Amino acid sequence: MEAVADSSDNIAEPEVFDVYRSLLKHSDMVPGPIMSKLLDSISSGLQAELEATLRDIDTGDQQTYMSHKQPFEMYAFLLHWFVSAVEKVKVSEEGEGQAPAPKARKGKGGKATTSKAAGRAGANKRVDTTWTWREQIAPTLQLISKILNRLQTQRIWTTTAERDTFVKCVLLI
Amino acid sequence: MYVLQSPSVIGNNARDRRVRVDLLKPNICFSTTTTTPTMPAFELQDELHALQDIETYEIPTDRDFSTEDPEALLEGLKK
Repeated sequence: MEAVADSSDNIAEPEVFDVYRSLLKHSDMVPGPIMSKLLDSISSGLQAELEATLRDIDTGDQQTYMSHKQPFEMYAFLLHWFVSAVEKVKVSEEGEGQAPAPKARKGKGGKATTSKAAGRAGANKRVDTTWTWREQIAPTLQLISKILNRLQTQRIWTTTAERDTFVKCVLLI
Repeated sequence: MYVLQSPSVIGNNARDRRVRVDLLKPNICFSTTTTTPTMPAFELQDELHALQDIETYEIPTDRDFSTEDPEALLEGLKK
């Protein structure tokens, strides 16, 4: 995720954003350690956007600080999605006492995934046990708290409706 | 962005000469609107709504992890 590490605004590049979305959409096939890297990347991007936005708000140049609106929303969206995805796994694991078997899903063109893919996903699930979202909950909540405390959201999201949407998204509601 | 008069309109008085000299300073550049490939308008509300049905959520360049390695994909962004 160096594209994002170089500049957090790179999230707005379609290719980069689509990689994140694909990983999240198919998170049932993504090994735990990669999910961990994914969360690190999203969190780092959000953090970087926060710092950059605060700096630019200080300069008072509205055009400059408003340019952070879309990257901010994209990261917030990805974080929202990430938490939804891992919480589903967590609930399933707690309910069943073990990681859920990968569900059959349709790939491109409506084709069902192959047995090879299912086998691989099964292997991935075994790897999943090496990573737990639980350890990441506290730092993630700290980041959310930092964003909502430090960012003057009314400067970026000027209408109540869009501000509410962003805040709810960040709060994972 | 600098909105400039056509050179033919700029006169020869002291002020205009100063303007022309200023334009030669290297820190002044003309806006040429660099276009980097960016997303079509991203509407957070719409995306969140679409996410409620994950199976139908469409990604323009979706990946197939039955044939692609997610780790390699992540690493691939480093290049």
